[in-house]
Amino acid sequence: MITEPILELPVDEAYQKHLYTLQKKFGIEYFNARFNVLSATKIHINKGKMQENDSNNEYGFSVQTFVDGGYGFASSNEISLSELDRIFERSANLAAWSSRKAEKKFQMKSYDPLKISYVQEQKKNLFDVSNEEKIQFLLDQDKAATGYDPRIVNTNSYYIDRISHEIIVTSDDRIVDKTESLARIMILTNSMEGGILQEARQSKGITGGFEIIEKADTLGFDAAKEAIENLNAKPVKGGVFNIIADPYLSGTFIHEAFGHACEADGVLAGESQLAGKIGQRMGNENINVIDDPTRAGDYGFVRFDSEGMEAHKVYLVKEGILNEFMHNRETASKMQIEPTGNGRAASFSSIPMVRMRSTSIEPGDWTFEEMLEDLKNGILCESWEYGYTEPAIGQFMFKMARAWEIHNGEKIQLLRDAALSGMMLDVLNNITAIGNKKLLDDGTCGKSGQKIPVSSGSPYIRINNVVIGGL
Amino acid sequence: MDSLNYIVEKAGSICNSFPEVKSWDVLGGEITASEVVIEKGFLKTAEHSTQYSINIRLFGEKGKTGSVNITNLSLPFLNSSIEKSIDLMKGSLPNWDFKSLSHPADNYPNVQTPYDSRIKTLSVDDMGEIVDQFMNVKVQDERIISVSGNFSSADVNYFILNSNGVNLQNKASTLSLSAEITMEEMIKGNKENSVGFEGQSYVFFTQVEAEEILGSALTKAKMGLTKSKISTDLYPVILPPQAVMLFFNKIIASAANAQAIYENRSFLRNQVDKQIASEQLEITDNPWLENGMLTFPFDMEGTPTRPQKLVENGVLKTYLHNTYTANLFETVSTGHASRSLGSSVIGIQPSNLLVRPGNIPFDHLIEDIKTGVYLEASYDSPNFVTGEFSGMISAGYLIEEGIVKNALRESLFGMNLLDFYNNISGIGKEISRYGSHYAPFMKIDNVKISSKK
Repeated sequence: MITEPILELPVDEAYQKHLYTLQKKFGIEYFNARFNVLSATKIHINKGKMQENDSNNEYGFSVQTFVDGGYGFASSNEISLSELDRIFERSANLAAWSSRKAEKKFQMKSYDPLKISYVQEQKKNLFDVSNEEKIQFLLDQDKAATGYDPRIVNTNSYYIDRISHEIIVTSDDRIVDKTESLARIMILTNSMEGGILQEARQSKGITGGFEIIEKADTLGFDAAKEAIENLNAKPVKGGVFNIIADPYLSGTFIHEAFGHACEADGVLAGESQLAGKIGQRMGNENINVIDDPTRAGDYGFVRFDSEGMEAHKVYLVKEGILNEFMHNRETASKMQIEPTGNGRAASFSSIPMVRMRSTSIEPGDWTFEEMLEDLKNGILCESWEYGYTEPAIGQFMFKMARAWEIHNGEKIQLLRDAALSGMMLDVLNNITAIGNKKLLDDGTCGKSGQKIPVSSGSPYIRINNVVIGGL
Repeated sequence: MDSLNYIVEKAGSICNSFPEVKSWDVLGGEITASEVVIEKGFLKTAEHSTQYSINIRLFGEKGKTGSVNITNLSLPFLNSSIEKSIDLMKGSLPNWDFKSLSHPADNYPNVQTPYDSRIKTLSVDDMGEIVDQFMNVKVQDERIISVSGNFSSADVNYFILNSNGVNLQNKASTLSLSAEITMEEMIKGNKENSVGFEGQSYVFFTQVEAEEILGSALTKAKMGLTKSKISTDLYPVILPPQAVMLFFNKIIASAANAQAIYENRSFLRNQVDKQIASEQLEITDNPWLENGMLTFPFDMEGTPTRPQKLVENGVLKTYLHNTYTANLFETVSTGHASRSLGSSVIGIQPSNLLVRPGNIPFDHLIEDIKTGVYLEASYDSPNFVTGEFSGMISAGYLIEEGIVKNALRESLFGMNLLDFYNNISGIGKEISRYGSHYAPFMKIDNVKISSKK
């Protein structure tokens, strides 16, 4: 199935049998071993000049072991049976040591054996595309940005792709042999006029192959247009406002402010305000929040997670009621429910933990025009630069890319450098309108030092009584 | 698998054999790392890894470039990877700004990167002592609902080679410890939560003070239980050392990055030799600091390091350069090249940064403030292009009549950084270290705070 020699892994049945022998030898209750090889490309062009033209080839494996409530984890860059002996033993010894200081013993649930092998679809295989072709596409976007207006004074254009072949073997005889790929393009632009400098960013990321260019062929133009428009933006005056958040900002909001608090590892650690609140009302009955990894092509698309479990759609909030959390094997075992396939690791050398995939608010029935007219006076917030949350106290914060001052339902002034914050348990209650069309955005989510690709999205939403920070 | 040293040397000699390769560099590294994760006061997981990487950058005519990173240290794989890198280089766009890689120095400063050989072989018993202290915290206060933390160590051994004759090796050791304590209490009929966080980095294992980190996190968690709001207005703000590190050291060093200056992405463009802050401000970049976290005789390109004033009497004295930006600005590298193991990107970063303390004790700095804010932490970052910075107060407290009182919630700050730097009205005499940063308390006037009150 794997046709590219660079993606071959020397892992056969002998490795699988050996793992089970080692499991018995060290008295391990549960393990997962992940063997991985990946080939990645990174291209960076700065105003037509090549800055980076890189090929990355990572290779190695890890073993995570569990015994008596304690975990051990070890990894190596060398794949061989003798190295498997060494790494398994190290992981098992760490697990045994951890178990002596672990909180409480719990049974890690086993699941039905499974053997599956798949290659994620690429409409245009990344290996069939020359590096020159990738460079040319990115250069075209870079030129589209620089050529848009003489006030564009700088561009940084990035292309990344990655094909990863991973074989996961678990102690309950689940063997998942998967080849996954993704690609992402990002254009950053800077504009300048009369001593005023502004910036803008546009990106598009997919799981799949070089078909990304079909979705990214206006990124350079769009980033330049936005940077030029931003030259007219004025700083926001801080205060409390009713706002409309666009789908990209709303998506980041639901990911940061709510999604992280729905990760069951944080719930069990006492670090989420949502602990013990399943079944409680979070907002009005029109609010539905999902984490849905099943849409092929989304940047957060996942078929099987890093623990060899199927990735399911999760209803975090159903008709305004907190419905369920996201789980990996450990949290599901502790809470005695089924895992949801949210156990993801950034690389073979990272421990799988509960992570989001594609998190979004489901559409309602307002049109954007109706929402704007009904807002009358307030702020229309567009896109985002970054956001974060503190799940234990429920406080969140987002930096928006830009915003509009709205007066009598009309956009009257472009605003910049605005931040909004709030308390998670209040904000869903303060959503007073949900738009009828959902859009998804690509992003990178960081947790405990691991960065993974995710999607997030929403329709336009209106939120009342939001604190906006400005100058 | 062949040895790292052998493969790095071999990579250099293979690169030399291709006439189309005009210059090259190789960064080879080995990291041995351990980590323990503590959750709810108990050990959650322990991990250990040894990772190798070799990154090779090739440059041809007109600055065309190709690079490859590998973790499989076998000679056949190295050969095929360099051939691939040459193909990438041939298909590259030119970069007329590329002039040369760094050259070896006649003399490198007699500076030793502090290194603890014990880190590479740290035992579980060593780490266990730290875990035990986390397990004991919960009994100190019944309001504690969670004690989480992370202890990690890394031993790094790396080689830098290039076609100009740079051939250097160095070792470094780092440890980091963080604690996060969550507390809960019923206050006036409402359940209030609070999180206290503290973290520190070290070079030597004997420096690690888990008790100090846990004590500080606990104090912060207790302070956060009772909350206040503040009206939207301009206030005097006290910055403790960790906030000075964020608002001054990190931001000024990032904005003085010569690549950002060249690309018009920094509010400090055209500001060298100009007043950017109150005359009280002095920041020194010192890569020779004894036992500093970022003490190195040479940077990641092999350029010798030297102590330099970054800001003196409020005047920006220099931008920070690597070899590439030094060529752009027709100057010499300041020895600030950074490069992560496994990466082909040469960045720019400061070494140990020291803000010169003033002579005002903390009590005097705060005593005249009728209503103000003690701004301890924000996870935000500014708009480096405009120098405007609006963000959330992640940890901050109301000051009333010269006393630090309740925690602020849903409060944001907003500032133009150059105004902010010029509004320094006092610098404390006490100084603290956070990683590679050394800073005192500061008082800043007229900071915009937005809140719901």
